[in-house]
Amino acid sequence: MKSYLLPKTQLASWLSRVQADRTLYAPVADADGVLDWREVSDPAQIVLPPGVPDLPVKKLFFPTSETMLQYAYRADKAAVVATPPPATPFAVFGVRPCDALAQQVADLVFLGDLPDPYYQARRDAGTIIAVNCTEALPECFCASLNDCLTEAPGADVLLTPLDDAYLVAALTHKGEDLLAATAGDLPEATEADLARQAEVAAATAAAQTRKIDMEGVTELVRAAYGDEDFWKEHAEACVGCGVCTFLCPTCTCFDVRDDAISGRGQRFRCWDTCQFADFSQEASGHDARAHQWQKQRNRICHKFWYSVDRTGVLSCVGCGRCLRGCASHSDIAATIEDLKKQPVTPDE
Amino acid sequence: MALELCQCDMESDLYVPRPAQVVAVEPQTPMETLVRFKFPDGADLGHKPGQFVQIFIPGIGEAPISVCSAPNAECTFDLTVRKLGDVTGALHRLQPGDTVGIRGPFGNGFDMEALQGYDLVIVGGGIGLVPLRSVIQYVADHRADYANVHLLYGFKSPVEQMYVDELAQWQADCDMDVRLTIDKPHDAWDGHVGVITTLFPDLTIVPPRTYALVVGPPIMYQFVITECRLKGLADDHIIMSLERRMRCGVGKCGHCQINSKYVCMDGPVFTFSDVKHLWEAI
Repeated sequence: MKSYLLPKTQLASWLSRVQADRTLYAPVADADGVLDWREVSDPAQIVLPPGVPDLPVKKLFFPTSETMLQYAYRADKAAVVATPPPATPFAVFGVRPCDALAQQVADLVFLGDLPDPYYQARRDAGTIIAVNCTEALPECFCASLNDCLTEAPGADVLLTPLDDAYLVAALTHKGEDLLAATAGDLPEATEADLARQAEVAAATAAAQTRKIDMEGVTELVRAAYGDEDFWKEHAEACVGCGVCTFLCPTCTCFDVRDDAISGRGQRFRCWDTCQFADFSQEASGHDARAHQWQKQRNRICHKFWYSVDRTGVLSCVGCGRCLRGCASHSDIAATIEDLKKQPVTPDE
Repeated sequence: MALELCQCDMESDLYVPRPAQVVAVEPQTPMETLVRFKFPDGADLGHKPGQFVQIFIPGIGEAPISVCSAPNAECTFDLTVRKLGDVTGALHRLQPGDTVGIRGPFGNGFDMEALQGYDLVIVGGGIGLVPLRSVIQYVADHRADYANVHLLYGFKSPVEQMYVDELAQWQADCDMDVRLTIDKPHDAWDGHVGVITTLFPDLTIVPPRTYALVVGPPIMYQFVITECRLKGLADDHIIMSLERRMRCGVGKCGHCQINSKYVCMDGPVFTFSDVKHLWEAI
């Protein structure tokens, strides 16, 4: 697939061409300065921070809340209309490689044998334009977990900052189509430019101060499952706010609710979290994970074990948002480090 | 209530309920009622014993409920519901002619073909008998395909006994060994008294040719599974159906996850060997 060189001074004009045929989303600072994924009218609004923007990009494919049915009802009659999935083409610029990979992990839940029509429509309509990292935040640890910095799986187009230009590479057919329509007049990248891409990725990986040996992590977590004291100690301060899961780019649990009043109603789904009190509570009152330490154990086991069992991949990408956002300073990476210091208890 | 569904042009009906009409309501106990449904177009639900549906009442919401009838020529299906929350409360107010929305069937169900030729020990505790009724009806319909059938059903007091006439019929007409027990003595009861495990000592089981099908509250499993193992049943001959909170029914929403399993997709029917290493299962 072709790669191009985009002078940094021409980024805004290239993005204008990108948004000619589609809605453009990118990290934009909200009133509180939080970097959220918003529709961009002027590329000058875009803020590319070091590391990941505050919020994960998953909301563009899996909104915090979306309507599935709308209905009118009275005592003797009801009329129900299914809400069709949206299909407006869009591109999202400024996605970091860890978030692009996370979307691929979420695909394994939402697509497959029973594809989710809403998620599928947004995935089909959306093009992910990733921008490689050149700096690392203290919380970043993707390089310990995966090769997203070099391969950017999940991205359709990858921009890698070189000196005064971006190396622009298509990684999928969707990305190729986008570049064919918007980058035809740009010079093609040389072999030397492509070699620089690997150097940038390696330098960013080296800049990550948080380095964790993830060798055998699934077995490690599985073996420690029954060590209640360990999990209690590591979840002691957890208040169950769920921010770790809402900020997690791969967490995709949702609730389905009906909001009905005065004869009109809607069925919608909204983000939910295994950290909330009633998430796994049955109608009988029984709850297999009633305690907060069990809920935190579930989160960590899911990332490093259950996900591997179900889909073959880890569902932690190392973006570091959960530990950046946690009010009680829970640190998933440090938890894994601590696990390694535990005496191994044999599997039951 | 009638229900019209103006279906949009969606390729997938994963989340779109289809209208089903109430054809009969049969109260069972003060807490449980049976509602029989049929699709207006006469279509069959296409379920297996042990599967569940998501039932939707406009203005109230949706809830997962086990189908408690076997597939039948009339293409009807039964749900027996305990009045506990908003949706189940509304289900208790349904009348013949009313319409609800149905998604499903979901879940794996019991593999009734794999059980052919075997003795069956069917153990239901309380409303655990509900999903098992689909199995029992199926066995009654295909009685020659199964060997000895024992049905053990325990409930708290006589007033909580469901399917009273059917239980008598299964005993009298379907060559099933039906044994009932209530938890504590009661003036209106002259049958067996004691928790369900007290029915096991008199039971003769030949382990290699027997499957136990067990459904009940979480506390019941550990005691009944212990009895089954004491009788010599292998762990893969002990089959159970698990309850979990569920929302989507199709393996996405995460609510029914237990360790690496999703009850809505991998279950709700599991063998004990499937789940004995899943700490959160029972």
